[in-house]
Amino acid sequence: MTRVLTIEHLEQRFAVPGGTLRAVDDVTLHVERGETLGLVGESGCGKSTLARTAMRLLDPKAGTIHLGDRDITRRSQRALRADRPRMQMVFQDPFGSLNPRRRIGAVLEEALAVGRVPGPERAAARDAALERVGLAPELATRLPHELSGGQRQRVGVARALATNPELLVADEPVSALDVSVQAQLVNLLGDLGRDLGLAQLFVAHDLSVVRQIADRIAVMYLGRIVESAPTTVLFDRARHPYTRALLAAVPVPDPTQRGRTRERLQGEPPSPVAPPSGCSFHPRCPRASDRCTVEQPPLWRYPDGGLTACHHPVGATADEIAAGARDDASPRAASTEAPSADVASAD
Amino acid sequence: MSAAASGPSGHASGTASADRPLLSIADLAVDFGTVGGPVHAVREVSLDIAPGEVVALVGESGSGKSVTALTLLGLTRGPRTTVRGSATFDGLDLLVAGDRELRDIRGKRIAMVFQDPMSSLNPVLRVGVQIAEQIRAHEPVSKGEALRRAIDALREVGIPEPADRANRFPHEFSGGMRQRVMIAMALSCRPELLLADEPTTALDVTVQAQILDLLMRLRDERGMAVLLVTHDLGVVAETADRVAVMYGGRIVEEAPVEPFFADPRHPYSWGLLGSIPPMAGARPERLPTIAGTPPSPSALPDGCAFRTRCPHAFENCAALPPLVDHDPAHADRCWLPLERKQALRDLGDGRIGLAA
Ligand SMILES: Nc1ncnc2c1ncn2[C@@H]1O[C@H](COP(=O)(O)OP(=O)(O)OP(=O)(O)O)[C@@H](O)[C@H]1O
Ligand SMILES: Nc1ncnc2c1ncn2[C@@H]1O[C@H](COP(=O)(O)OP(=O)(O)OP(=O)(O)O)[C@@H](O)[C@H]1O
Ligand SMILES: [Mg+2]
Ligand SMILES: [Mg+2]
Repeated sequence: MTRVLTIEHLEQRFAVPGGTLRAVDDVTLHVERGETLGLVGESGCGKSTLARTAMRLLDPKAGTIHLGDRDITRRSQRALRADRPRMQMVFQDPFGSLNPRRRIGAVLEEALAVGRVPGPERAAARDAALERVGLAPELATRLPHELSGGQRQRVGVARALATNPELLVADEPVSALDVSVQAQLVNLLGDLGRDLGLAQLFVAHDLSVVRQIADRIAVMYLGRIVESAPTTVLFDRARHPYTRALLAAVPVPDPTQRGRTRERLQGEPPSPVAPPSGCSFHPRCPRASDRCTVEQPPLWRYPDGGLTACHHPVGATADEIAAGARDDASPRAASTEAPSADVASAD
Repeated sequence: MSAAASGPSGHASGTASADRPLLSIADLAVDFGTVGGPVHAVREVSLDIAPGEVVALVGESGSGKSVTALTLLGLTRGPRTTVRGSATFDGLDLLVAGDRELRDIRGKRIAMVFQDPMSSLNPVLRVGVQIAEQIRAHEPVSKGEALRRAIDALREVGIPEPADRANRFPHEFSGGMRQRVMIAMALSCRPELLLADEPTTALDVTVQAQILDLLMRLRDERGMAVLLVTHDLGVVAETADRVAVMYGGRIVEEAPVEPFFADPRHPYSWGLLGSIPPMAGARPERLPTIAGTPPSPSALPDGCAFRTRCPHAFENCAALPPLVDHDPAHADRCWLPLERKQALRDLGDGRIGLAA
């Protein structure tokens, strides 16, 4: 397998009144050719900042970023221009990423030019790009404000795909779409991965979409990856209490089940400027012990391919823990000690 | 709905609709002129919302949901826009109300959460000041008091360290935080009606649940009514009393929430319900979709707008079907006989969908 994107020990911080906000705190991850890595987590935990830093739209404070085997961590913006067609981004805010005075057709033609589509072929390619995301070619004459929210979002996807990138970093690319158009786009992105080897970092809040599209899923909490696993492992056997809380909060499309998902994550969201010590989830965690307040958990690798940063992983047996090990993706400051087995599941 | 407990689960669907409507939309139509020709964004939309009622507006991307909501507050007015119909709120027709009358209502009695948070926040004003100004535009309170209320409002939507955050600019917030700032702003003047256009799309499910709890609490405590535009059918099932489905600018089905999910009548609704990605069981290689592309809004087919994509279309569909109430409060716009629908929409193993 070839790695298209490799991020190691990445840090991103913002200076804010009263201190430093660590938006991305020692994150290591990679995406392989043809693979989709889903990135989920609490609102404000650093997903967009991670995505933008990976794309070098923000300069990292520490760590490295590789596109293929090329280190782009400190490449100049001018030199990066040659790499841009290979790595494309769909922005979370489609309106903000479109020039309000440029017609949609011109936006797409410009992207096609960057992707080296010859001039005479661009008009046809533009129409095809619109149709691929379920938009009528007539929309080419519209200005961004003359589109609906979901239409604008699809223009963002069409623009990113116009250069035939190897890597797509997509920040909530289908959040404004009804489920049927969303299904169409999810199928399209799935095909591009399977048939053309497109690698994707796919940020989303809708867990049913992530389950459908992702090969692996990484869960972020307060700037750190707290769990990552192959999709089926994460849905069947999430070991991190935060992942469990997320899965439990998914609303079910069945009104007779109303109220079933009433369990709520307790406590206030913590401050990213003065994060809790040890495991940053501990103030809200029903399983937290004294250990969690002082010792940052490592990402422990389990035999099923799951990585979990938790001292008291849900359902983890002593055997599984012993067969696993501290993964290299662990933050440098994380402990080297193994997690405790879950006594509730000792049998 | 036997759960009598407080909160959303205790609110029996449909009870509120017996009240006099707070807002009554009748035959709303909105056209835009564009360089590519006229766009019929909304047509013949009629919808009532009672005090304390949550009505979900769902439907295809581009079907006219946002334009409907924006038009109620006069926000689509312009030289190239034509609006017809009426929208009566407390005796006043919002569609013909003067700018001053609308300004008094907007933000105070009817508040809106916009689909695009960034475009409705002022990028050069601190977030706390923006919310405080909104409060002071409608209530005679001091600057200090308004700011204190703004901070409380931020806390209520789960923004960490609200007092510090109030001093920051919108670009320093994450996407979901901005969305919550807008919700805080919309709720700050205790509106009677909230027009919430995709209010939780940028929120993870745990924060989303907190926000929905908050909205449902305000509904229960103050009788706030909500027009909830959303594509998340899980959110609809959790919160709505009634559902209206739009396609091609028109409402094609309207029903109380339980019959909508158990007995959907319009083929577009079947397609929608059938496209929901499953949360359990085997993952399909591809998700079911509705075949074909949505018709261009400037060239909608005559008759039923869905007929070009509907596998069950027949000759009648060339004429526009009326929105007919087959059961009390359950209406749809489709020529198929009611008896045939059940068989046509059944995909086997209890699933509803639009078989190709
Ligand atoms: N330019 C900035 N200046 C200061 N703080 C920032 C800036 N950009 C982001 N932040 C902060 O960094 C943190 C992470 O933000 P980010 O946008 O990455 O979150 P996110 O995970 O994408 O959230 P969401 O799901 O709500 O979009 C937040 O606390 C945010 O307020
Ligand atoms: N200012 C405008 N000028 C011209 N056409 C417009 C304008 N605003 C919206 N439209 C068109 O009107 C139709 C309805 O748009 P609207 O924003 O109401 O859709 P929506 O149902 O909210 O969709 P989404 O779910 O994607 O947000 C769309 O086809 C859109 O392109
Ligand atoms: Mg984000
Ligand atoms: Mg909209």
